[in-house]
Amino acid sequence: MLKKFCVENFKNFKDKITFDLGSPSNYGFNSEIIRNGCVTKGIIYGVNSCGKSNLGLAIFDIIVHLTEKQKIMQGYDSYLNLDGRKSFAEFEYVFGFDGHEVVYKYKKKDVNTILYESLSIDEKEVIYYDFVSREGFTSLAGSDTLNASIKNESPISRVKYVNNNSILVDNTENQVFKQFINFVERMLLFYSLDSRGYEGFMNGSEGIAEGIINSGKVDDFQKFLAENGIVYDLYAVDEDGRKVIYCRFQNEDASFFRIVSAGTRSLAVFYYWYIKMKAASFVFIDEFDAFYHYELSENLEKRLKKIEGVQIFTTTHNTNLMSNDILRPDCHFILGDNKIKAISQRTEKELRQAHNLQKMYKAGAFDGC
Amino acid sequence: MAAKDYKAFIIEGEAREPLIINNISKVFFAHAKFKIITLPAGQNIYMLWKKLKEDNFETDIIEVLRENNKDLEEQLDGIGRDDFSEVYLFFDYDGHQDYIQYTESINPGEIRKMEACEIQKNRVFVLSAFPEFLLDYFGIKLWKKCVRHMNNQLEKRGCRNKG
Repeated sequence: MLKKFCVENFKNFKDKITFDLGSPSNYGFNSEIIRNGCVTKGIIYGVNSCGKSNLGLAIFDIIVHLTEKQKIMQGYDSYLNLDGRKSFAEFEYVFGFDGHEVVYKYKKKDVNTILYESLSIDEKEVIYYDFVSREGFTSLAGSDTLNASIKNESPISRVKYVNNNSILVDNTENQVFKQFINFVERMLLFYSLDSRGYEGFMNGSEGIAEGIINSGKVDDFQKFLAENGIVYDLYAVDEDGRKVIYCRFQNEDASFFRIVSAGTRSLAVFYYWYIKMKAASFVFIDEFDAFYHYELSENLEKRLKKIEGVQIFTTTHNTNLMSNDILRPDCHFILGDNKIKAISQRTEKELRQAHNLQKMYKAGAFDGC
Repeated sequence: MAAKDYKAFIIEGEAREPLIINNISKVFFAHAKFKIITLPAGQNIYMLWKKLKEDNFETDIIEVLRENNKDLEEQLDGIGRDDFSEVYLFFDYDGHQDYIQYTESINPGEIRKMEACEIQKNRVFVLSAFPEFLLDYFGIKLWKKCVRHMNNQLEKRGCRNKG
């Protein structure tokens, strides 16, 4: 689980911003959202251009140099803060795995150039490398032979290098290291628009229809749409070597993606990832309900809430979701003024389940602190 | 997909008021597309008001009732705060109660004076929120509703003037 994330001098985050998921409050409701002391579901609100999308890109920056998964490289143009005093961006991730803590810190000049990285397991630094002075070490059992070769000109992350090139001894420290790598490999960021792509979790550009058909989920997709008030009779066809979903009509059948509305198209994108995200570790859905009626957004949030063991965060402008019936005050986050805080931390008032959070938000109750 | 529409009637008495509401529902809301749910206010409705005021009116009344009365869990199971389109609170005036401790905006002394005045004139003093509610809900349409109901009653008894 990701417990804490900090970033500084990256895009619009000039000063250090901390996204703390490891300090939940003691609410007696919706307690299934908190696992091992970590917030596992959250909704991020904030005015336009406060940095919601940039926060997603910042968290998923780790994907770029630690994995071979899909990347949204164009998202990392204008990498450093344009007013910043430093010539690098700084990242810090704190993870928790079965009571063990992993802290991964690094500095980057641009999306592809690491200047420094450090990995600690239970407060012991196990991998360190300074890419400027070309000094560093690894102390993970089984990776000692890499210490000579680690001091070279290669710009590759030493964490990735150790993972790919060493046969690590089976001990607790290395198991935690593997858990960390496994977590990062399964992180997924996606947008509600097909054209904007995704980052992490897998590779390639599988079509939405193709993905649903390949998973054998056309009937389930039809059921999913119907549960959300959209009724179509769907079937899969092979059209010039491409897998396509068709809708049955009285006079003439038609290709699903040619006839559906922007909202339904976006819902199909959501469904495509929804059936995959149970295997993910950390999911970030940017502007997930930009095309949805408020009831549909609520239904989808409630669905996401039921996915166990996966941390899922969505960004939205829909304050209808700011309700204790969906999440809790420590899971609704407001991003603004280079800070991201749960609404429970944005007021001194003791919030109860009975509170109408949306009404309070609109009245400015969470503008302080 | 749309949630069912509910209207909450919050009342003090748990015996007589539900019967009155049941009758009102039969006469005025027999074909309504919403469901009326009658909920007890707890000790008395002024205390509920005081609680809402203490919360700076930042809480939802349905949830305040739910958190203070475990018996409502079953009655409100599967019904959320947003499923209620309207909430009506029916305040009772009981002469023997001292309301001043709950609210200063309602002056029980004046009501008591009016009541005494009406009794002196050998008239019955009726203070009920239910007719007020009907007038508030229907406005001018209330009279049409009443006439239609009366016509239906007369028709049922076979004494409507068919000429």
